[in-house]
Amino acid sequence: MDKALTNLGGRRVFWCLVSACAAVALILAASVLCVALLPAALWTGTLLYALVVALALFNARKKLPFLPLTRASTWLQFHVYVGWLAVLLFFLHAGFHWPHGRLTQVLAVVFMFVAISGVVGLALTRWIPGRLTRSGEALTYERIPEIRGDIRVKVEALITAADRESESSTLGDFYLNHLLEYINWRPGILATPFGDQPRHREIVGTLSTLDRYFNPRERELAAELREWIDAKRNLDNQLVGQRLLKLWLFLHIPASCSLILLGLVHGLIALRYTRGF
Amino acid sequence: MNDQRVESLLATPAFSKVDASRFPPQLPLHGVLKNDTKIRSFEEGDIIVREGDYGNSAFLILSGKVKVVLNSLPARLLGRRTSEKKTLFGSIAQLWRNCKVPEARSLAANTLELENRATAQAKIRVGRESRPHVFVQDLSHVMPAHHSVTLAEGELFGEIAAIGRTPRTTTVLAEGDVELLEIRWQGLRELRLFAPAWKEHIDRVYRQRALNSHLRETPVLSYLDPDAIPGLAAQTQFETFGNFDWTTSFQKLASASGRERVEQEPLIAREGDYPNGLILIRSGNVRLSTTYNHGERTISYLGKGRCFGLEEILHNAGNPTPIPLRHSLRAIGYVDILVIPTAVFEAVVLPTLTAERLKDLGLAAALPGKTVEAPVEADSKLGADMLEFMVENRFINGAATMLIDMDRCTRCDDCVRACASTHDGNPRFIRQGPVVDSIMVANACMHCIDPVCMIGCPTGAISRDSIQGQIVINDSTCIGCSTCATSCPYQNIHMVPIRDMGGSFILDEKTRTPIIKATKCDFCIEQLGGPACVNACPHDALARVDMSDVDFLSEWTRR
Repeated sequence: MDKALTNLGGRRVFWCLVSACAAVALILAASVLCVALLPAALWTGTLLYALVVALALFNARKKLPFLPLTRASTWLQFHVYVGWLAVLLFFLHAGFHWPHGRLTQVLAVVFMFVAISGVVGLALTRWIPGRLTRSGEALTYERIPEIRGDIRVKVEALITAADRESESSTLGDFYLNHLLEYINWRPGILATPFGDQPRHREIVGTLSTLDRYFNPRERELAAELREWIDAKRNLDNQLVGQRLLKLWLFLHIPASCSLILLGLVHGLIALRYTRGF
Repeated sequence: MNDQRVESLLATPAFSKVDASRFPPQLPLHGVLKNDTKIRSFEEGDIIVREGDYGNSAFLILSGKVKVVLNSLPARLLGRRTSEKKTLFGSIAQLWRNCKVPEARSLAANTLELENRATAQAKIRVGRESRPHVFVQDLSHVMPAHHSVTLAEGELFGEIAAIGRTPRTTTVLAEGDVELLEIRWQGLRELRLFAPAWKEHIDRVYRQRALNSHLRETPVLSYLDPDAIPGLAAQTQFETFGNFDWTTSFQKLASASGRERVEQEPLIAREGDYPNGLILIRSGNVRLSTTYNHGERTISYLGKGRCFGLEEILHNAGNPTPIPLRHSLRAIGYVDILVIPTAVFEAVVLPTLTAERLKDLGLAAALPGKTVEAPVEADSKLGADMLEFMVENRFINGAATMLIDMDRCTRCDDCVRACASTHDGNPRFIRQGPVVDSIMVANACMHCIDPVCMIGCPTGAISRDSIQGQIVINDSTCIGCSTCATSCPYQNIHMVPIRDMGGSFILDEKTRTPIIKATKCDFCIEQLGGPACVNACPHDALARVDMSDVDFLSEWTRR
């Protein structure tokens, strides 16, 4: 078995050391270029563009799983650490000040957006999975609408049973006035994942208050209902968490493509005016 | 099997001398033959048993002759899948060659077309029993190249694989029309128990063909003089525990409590008993447990090649204060064990085990006379919950179990997409399954050590790859009977209707219903880079784990 799969700490130390060495080398090289009155911006810019293209290849690797191109996890490590180096190189290239030209300003904004979305994405991929696991049953994202429908069917069957078996409308009224809306409710795009869910707390609180009106049979059914309400909470957690995990990529990848195009334009213009071709 | 046929069987030389009174009233000889045997007919060239197959029956020749092929036959001749790594171009070509239609097959690769392919030597035909057989075309032309022996009327074959649950070691073909009595493993077990002549024959063959080589491969016996092995084999006992067809009982117990499941497992050795012998696990898995208040706590699991009771025997040798067995041993599924009696072990093996050699074997703590310390067992490495879960659900059977660390998995499905890309657009696993301690055991073929799916395939389409050891299906010779899918205790084989390249279902010519095929993970046996699922995971959340490697498993789950 591959020990690299188990020694994640060792791998982190390795990449950190390599990145730190590379960062020092970059800073020294940029200083030397400046002191030697060589076109430092041209060199750092070219290297930065090459790094950005190399970082974008990670997505291309995902499309070629049948080729022996080493593990995607190795590519991700490269992507993360070289990404940090690219940020350093960006500042070295820009001279640690805000650019003046329109194109370079747009380019700087896009670069920062790509970098920040990458960092946010990395944080999300480290933060959300564990919480999804602890939230409850693992659900497949594409099946969430179907499972929502299943929960509704199961809840309605319980309410019908309560109505039939207990000759009481307490649970039926609760369903119509509170629960139905909660089951149909879907968390919005900006919903906070895994935080306190006021709607869930409210619905559980209401159900607890109704306990005084239940007969023993209704109490049994209410306990079952509570399980479905918790399943709905897990469903919402899974939806919000998994959606976030997918959503950031929809921002990061198109922005990266724009960055490559804008960078190319910027590079050609820079070469046109420095080399005169 | 009707009563008249049983009576005629009882008159044959194989059974006429068997004393029926030795059989218990609830298991009469007549009943054993009636319920556990079947008459099978084969034609010239039909493959009766295939080398590498797992079979649950032996065959007695009633009439005709069979050829036992002593050399390995080519996989193509046996109707097996021949796995070759793709070329670099072949790998890249998957980009545009993958079909957009799910489960599409070219008609030329279809079973029904196989007979029309001039190059194919293995063909399928429906025999007299209305059962499909794979047969070797032009047997007389093929056979001279291979060394073979002929067995005739009254001879028995296949008994070692049936009793020991080991792969068949040779291929047997029908030489002309043959009538055989197929004896299921249950029937063979009863005959061995109650018919001394059968026991004597089976034991003799077993000792000759299997026992010596197994003893030679056992590390603790590796210092023995090779000439001493046959003598040791003569005194070694062998036993089987559990149900050969353990899938059924396992599925029945799915909803039972952990305690009930443990109690259902046959007890091989009991904690507190005197160690009567060294137990060697020849095949299958066993649970090592210890009494904990009113129940049994699992300490570890042992598989093929491991032994039990050695430390106690070493400790007790010449020790005035002997200790009993510290753990109980229970069979998980079907287990084949060998027992070397303690007295024999002490007389023959112990003198060869010097302190240095015991250290080499990792048994320094068990030097004769030394106090036996509590070993670091799997439960302390894996955690009790994880261990009980893996053992109870029999995931320990996997040689490449797909585990997903749900605390690292971002649910991106890159693994599923990679699997689909490498299998003509069809994913061969489902990213779903039971979860314990944030580790998911996904629905993917585990390439089991004890592959129950391979038992009973009528055409041998499902087999273990001879080079890499994975369980693979030959799509061309799969007849869609679902035997493997039904047998798989983990529901990791899926039957799918196949389509042509245009998306229409390919229909059976007779029944006009869609032809179905068995599909499952093949561990990307033909891909250049190995399993695509593992390689595609950017977060190292997915691993294919050999469950017998407890150290790796514990390191991986606790990283």
